[in-house]
Amino acid sequence: MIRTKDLTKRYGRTTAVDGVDLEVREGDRYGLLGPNGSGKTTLVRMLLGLVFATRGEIEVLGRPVPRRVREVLPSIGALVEGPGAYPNLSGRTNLAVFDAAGPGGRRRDRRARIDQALERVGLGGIDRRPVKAYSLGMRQRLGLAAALLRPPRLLILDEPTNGLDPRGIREVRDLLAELNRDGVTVFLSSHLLSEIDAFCSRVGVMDRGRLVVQDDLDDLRVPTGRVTLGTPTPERAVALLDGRVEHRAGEILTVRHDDPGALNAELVAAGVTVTAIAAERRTLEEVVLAATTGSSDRVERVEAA
Amino acid sequence: MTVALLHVGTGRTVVTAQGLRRWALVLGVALLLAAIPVAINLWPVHAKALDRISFSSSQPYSGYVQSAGLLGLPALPNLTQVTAPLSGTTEMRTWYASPRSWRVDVLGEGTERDLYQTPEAQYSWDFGDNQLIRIEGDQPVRLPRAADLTPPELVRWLLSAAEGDKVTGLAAKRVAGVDAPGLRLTPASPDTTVAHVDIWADPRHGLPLQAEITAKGGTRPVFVTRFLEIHFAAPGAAVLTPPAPRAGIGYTVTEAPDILGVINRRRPVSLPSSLAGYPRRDAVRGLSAAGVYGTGLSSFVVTALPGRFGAAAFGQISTYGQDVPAPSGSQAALIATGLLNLLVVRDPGRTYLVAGPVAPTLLERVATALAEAQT
Amino acid sequence: MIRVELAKLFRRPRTYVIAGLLCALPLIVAIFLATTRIPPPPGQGGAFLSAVLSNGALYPAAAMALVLPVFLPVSVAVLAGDAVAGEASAGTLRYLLVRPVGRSRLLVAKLISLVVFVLFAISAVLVTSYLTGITLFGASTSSAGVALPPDVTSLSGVTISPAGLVLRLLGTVAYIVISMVGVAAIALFLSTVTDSALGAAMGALAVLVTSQVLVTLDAAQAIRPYLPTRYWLAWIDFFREPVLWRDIERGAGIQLVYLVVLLGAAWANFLTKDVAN
Repeated sequence: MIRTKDLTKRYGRTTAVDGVDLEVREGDRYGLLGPNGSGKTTLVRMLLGLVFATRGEIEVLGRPVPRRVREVLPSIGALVEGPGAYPNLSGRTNLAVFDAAGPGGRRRDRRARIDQALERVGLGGIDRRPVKAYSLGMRQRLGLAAALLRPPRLLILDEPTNGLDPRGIREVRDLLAELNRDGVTVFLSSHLLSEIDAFCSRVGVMDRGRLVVQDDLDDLRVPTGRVTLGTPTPERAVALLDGRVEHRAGEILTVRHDDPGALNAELVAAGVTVTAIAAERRTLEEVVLAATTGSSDRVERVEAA
Repeated sequence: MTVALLHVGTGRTVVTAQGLRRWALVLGVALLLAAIPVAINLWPVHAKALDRISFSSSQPYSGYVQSAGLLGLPALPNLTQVTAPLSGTTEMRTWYASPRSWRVDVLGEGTERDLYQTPEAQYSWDFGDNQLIRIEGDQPVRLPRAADLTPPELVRWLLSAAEGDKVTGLAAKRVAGVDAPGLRLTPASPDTTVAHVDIWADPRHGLPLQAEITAKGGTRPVFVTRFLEIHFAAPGAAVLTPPAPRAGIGYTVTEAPDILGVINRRRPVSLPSSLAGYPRRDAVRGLSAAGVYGTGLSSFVVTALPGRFGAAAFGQISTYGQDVPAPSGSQAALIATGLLNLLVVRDPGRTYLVAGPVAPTLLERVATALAEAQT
Repeated sequence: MIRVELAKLFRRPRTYVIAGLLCALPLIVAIFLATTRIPPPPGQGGAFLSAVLSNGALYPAAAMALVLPVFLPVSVAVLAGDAVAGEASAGTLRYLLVRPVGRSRLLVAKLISLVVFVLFAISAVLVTSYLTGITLFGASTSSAGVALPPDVTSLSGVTISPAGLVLRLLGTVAYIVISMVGVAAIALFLSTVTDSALGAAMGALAVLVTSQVLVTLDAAQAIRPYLPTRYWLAWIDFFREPVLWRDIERGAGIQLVYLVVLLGAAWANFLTKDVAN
C-alpha cells in the first residue's frame, strides 16, 4: 500500500526525514512510533503530497507520489497533525464543504454519508453549534469523520487520539479495528507507545528522522528467556529454584528459564502450587529503548574536542 | 530570480525542477508583456523629410493631447488657469472641424473644463463651478488658455511671424502612431529666450503633432505639447454641440470671459507705441489695456492692471522674483523661468505686467522705459 | 470548488461586516453634506461630491470615488491575503489539498470568489448610496414640481439619460472589478509566499501605497504607465461625454497584465510549495 525508498527531507540544514524505507502492506494495522519532532508528521505529509521530498521515492496504492498523488488521494482518508475545520461553520457544514471541494462524492447522498460518518465517530447527535465551540476531542472526532466521508481503502492518521479521554481513545481504537476487519489498511502515527501496542500489528519506530525499527509486533516481542510465575508459597519456590530467581515481588517471581512448560512441571513435581505462569516477552518499550539513542527533546551539552 | 528561490531556498526537492520550469514560464510571459511597449518604441520610423508645415486650418482632426511645462511659475491670483498649463502636465481632448467649429476639453481628475467654438459664439463649461458661459463677440485681448497649447494651435502661433528664422530638418519621430518628420526653428533675434522650437508634423496633412520649446542654455525642452492620439476624420456634430443651458447649472453671457478682458473693457489705458526699441504690433482698435510688442518669438505682452489687482500681482511677483532697478518712484520685480519671463512694474499710478519669451535684460530695459513713460 | 469558495465567502460574517463598512462611509459623508450643505471646493475633495448636492442620483458615482482609493483596495487586500495563508494557518488548507483539490484550481477558485466579493460589495455600495442620494439630496425636479427620473449632468455638461447612467454605472462597476482583480492578484501571490495572512495583506498594501506615491511623482514619469494604481480613477471617464476610453482601455490592460503575471507567479510558487506549518 505504501512503499518509500531512501525518502529524505531536509529543511535547510536540518534533516527531518533521513533515508526512510517504509513498507506498509495491504490490510496492515501499521503503527509509526516516535517522539514529537522525530519526523513522523513530515513523513505523513510527504505520503500525501503536501510536502515534497528532497530525495527518494514514494509509492502509495501503486502510484508514484507526488507525481500521481491526485489519483490515489480519493481512496485515502487522512488526519494530518490535528484536525482542521472552519471555526465559524458547524461540524456538519464543515463536512459538506470538504466533501463538495473534492472530486467525486455525489451530491445526492452527501447528507446520508455525512450522517453516517458522524454516527461512526460518535457525533451522531451533533447540533448546529459552530466548530469554534467544540472541545478538542470533538474536533478530533470531526476530523476522523472527514477522513471517513468516502469509504477509504487506506487511512493515514497522524496522532488520531490526541485530546480524547480514555473512553474516547477506546472507541476510536474499536472503530479502526472494525474498519480494518472490513479491509481498510490503517497507517497511524503516534508518540504514545501504549496506543501502538494496543492496536497495531506492525510497527515502525522513528528516531531523529530515521526509521530504526520496522517489523511485525509479534516478531519484535521475542521471549526474553525469563518466565513470570505466581505462587502462594514464594519462599519454597525460591528455595527450589536456587539462584535462578531474578526478581521477587510478593507472590510474583521472575525466573531465568527458557521454557515455561518445563518450569511448571519442575515446580509441580516439587509440590509447589503454581497459580500463573507465562514466558516473559520483550515489551515494545524495551524494543524502542534498545533502538533509539536518546530522547529527542533532550539537549545535550556537546563537549568541545 | 530571488523570488523563484523563495521556497526553493529551503532546499532542493523532487519538484524543484518543475517549479523552476513554471517560474521560467511566468518570467517569460512577464518579459514578453514588458517588451511590447519597448518594441513599439524601438520600431524604426520611416518618414520623408518635411519641407514645410501647412498652416492650413481646414484639416479636421480629433485627438488626445498632453502638454507638459517645466516653467515653474508661482500660482498668481486669478491667473492659475494661465500658469498651471505652463508649469505642469495638462491633458486635453480636442475635436476640430473648422476654425469656426471646434472643441477642447481640459481633463482633470474628476473634473473638466471645456471650450466650444460654434459659428455663433464660444461656450465655456466648467464642471467644478457647474457653470456654462456663452462668450459673444470677438475677444480683442484675452489670456492665453489651455486650448492654445494643442500642437496645431501652438505651432500656428509660434510660426505666425517667424520671418528670417532658420529652419533645419530633424530626425523623424513616431507621434501618436504617426511617423512624423521634424523641423527645427532657430529664432534669429538675440532678445528671445527660445533657443529653438522643434516641430514634428503629419506628413500627409502637414498638421503639427508635437512641438517642443527649448530655452537658451538648456538641453531639455522646457515645454512639450504632443498628440497621444490623432484621428483625421471630421468630428461629428453631436460632439461639437455645447451643452444647453438648463435648470440646475449656472449660465451667463459675457463678452469678456477672463480678467484681461474685464480690465480691457473697464480701464482703457494708453500704452507707448514702442518699448525698448520694439514697436507695438497689435492693431486693436483704439485704447486697450494690453499691447503686444515685437514679433515672433521675441514678442512680449504688456498689460496695465487696475489698483487692487495690480497690488496683489506685484506682491506675488516680488515675493517669488527678484527686484529690478527702476527709476525713483517706481518699483519693478522679475520672475525668470528660463523660457517665459514675467516683469511687474509699479509706480504710484499704475501697475504693468509684462510677459514674454524674452531675455531678462530686455525686460529690464522695458521696466525703465515703462517707468519713464509714466513720468 | 468555486461553489464551495462562494459558500465559504457568504457564510462568513466578516464578508457582511466589510461590505457594511464600505456602505457606511458614503452614508456618513452624505449625512454631513446634507445637514451642512457645504460642498467641497471644485477640484478638491472626492470627485462628484460638489455635484451631488444638486442631484442625488449622481451619489453612487461619488460613493465610488470615496471608497475606491483606500477602503476597497484595503478590504480586497485583506481578503486576498487571507485566501491561502489564512487556510494554511487555520489548518484547513491541507485537508482541502488531500481531498484532493488541485492547487491551480484552488487559486482560481479563490480569485473568482474575490471577484464575486468585489461585485457584491460594490453593488451594495451602489444601491445604498443611490437610496441615500435620492433620500438626502433628492432627484432633480421639473418646473412643474414633479419628480423626474433623475437626469444627471456629465462632466462635459451634457445630461446623461437614466438609461445612459445605468450603462455608465455598469461600466464603472466592471472597471472597478478589473482594477481590484489586480490588487487581489498581488495579495494572492503574497498569500502563497507567506503563511501570515496579515503579512500578505500588508505586503499588497505596501505595493499599492508605493505605487500611489510614484504616480504623483514627476520624477517617476517613465514608469508611471506601468504602475498598478495609475489608472484607478479612469472610471470617472465614463462620466465624460463622449466617454473617454483611452485611460479605461489602458487601465484594464495593465490590470490584466498584473493579473496574468502575478497569478502565474502564485501558480508557480504554490504548486511546488511545501504545505507544512
